[in-house]
Amino acid sequence: MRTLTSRSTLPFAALALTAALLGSACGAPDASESSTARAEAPAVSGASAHAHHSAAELEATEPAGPSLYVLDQAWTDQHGDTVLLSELAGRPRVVAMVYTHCTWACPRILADMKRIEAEFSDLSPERSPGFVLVSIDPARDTPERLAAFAESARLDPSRWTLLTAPDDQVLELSVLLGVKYRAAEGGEFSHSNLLTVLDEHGAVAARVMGLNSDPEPALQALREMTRATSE
Amino acid sequence: MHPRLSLAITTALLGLTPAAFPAAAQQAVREGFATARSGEAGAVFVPAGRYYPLYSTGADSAGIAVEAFRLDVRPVTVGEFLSFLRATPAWRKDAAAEALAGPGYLSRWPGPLDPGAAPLDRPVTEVSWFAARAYCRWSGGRLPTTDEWEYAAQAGETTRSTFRDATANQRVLRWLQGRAPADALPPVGTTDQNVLGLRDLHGLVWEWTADFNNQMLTGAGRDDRGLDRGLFCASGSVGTTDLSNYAAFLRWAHRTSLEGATSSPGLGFRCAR
Repeated sequence: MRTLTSRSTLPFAALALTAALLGSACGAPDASESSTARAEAPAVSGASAHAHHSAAELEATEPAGPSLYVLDQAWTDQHGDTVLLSELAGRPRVVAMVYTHCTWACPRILADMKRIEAEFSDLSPERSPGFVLVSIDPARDTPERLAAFAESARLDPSRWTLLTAPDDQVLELSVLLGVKYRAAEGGEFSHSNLLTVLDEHGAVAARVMGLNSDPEPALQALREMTRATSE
Repeated sequence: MHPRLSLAITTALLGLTPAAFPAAAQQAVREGFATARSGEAGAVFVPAGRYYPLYSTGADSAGIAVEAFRLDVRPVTVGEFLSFLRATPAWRKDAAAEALAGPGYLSRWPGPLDPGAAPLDRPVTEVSWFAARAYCRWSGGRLPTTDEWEYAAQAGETTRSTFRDATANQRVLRWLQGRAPADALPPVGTTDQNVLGLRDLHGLVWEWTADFNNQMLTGAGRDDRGLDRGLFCASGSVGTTDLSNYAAFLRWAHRTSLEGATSSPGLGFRCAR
């Protein structure tokens, strides 16, 4: 601690501050960075489209790491139904935190997710990855609003889940995922642009940072999780 | 009030003068203080006001408004956290989920309910954000927001605000530099104290806040004209930043290194209510 305020380290500290600040989100594009996917054991999922009871039907695959579904919160989806976080298990999921009034970054996040969805469109809904949008703006993103948004964005309900819950719960999930967000002026939010790929156990299999980033790490992880079958 | 604490205080009062306290009574006071649940009795009222974060440029910024709240006088102790673990087995280190409490969680405790050599009146450390939140919820409170914590910390020893007060900021830095190593922390309540009655905001441990992860430095309100957007969206003109509140910068930088499951020896917390 004593050395931090010495003359010779202050310029270093200033440089560190610059580096940290340049990396922070400000509603403008993030520097493009993709994170590397972790190799994932192939998984066969017998999940239904809504993945309610799939945990019991899982093959004995090893999770890529600790499951995030231990934070078993209760969310409300675009149909007004209660969804426990653990109910997302049994199927790989691509998760993003957005808000429906977002006009700049979120449409791009959605486009990135749809690109991924298209890659697996030949699979039946139960065998394809699921896509999850979690709102960081629960005051305005009510279930009804989410349903209207899903319809206007033409999100296939057998593949897309939109979730809303009170602010404190959103904060908790954001920390678990590593998504930063903050209310800014005029009803806008600054937020990091992150896609998280979770395996069927809820462990992080891949992360894609930034808009229009190369989705290949996510695609690779998802391919391994969905296509390694006996066919 | 916790029965042991009231017994301890009664015993101490009967001793009349500090010099007359029998050693056992002193020990009882310390243990009572340490094991009493941090709660309303251990919190002070912080009145509403404004403070100036590290990225403020002074006169042209109205600062950040903070509503009134209550804040624990000092960080949560080992003894208090032990009480929480006894009541909530899911948070013992042999039970807590890895995603919510990383490998460092209570790593120096010999056992799930055994803090070992750590005296009960030391600040509890090696606790993750999720664990700290769970404790605060259990004790009827919550983690303070970063704005609340920084606002409380900007109060000085004799004044309500140390903003741009070079002497006061130097004192804060000396408390920061004088912190004991993480494996030899002193009891809570024995380092710095400010005019609000809050202790150990600078001289003891780093502390969790509710929104530590959302420290993006964009203006949250229309009145935050002092913020130079160019600084954070590409230009890197660090020279325009006021670094007189160096302690706030160090806290900001430290928070950027944290994740929710981080459990480190110099990082503790206190609750707001």
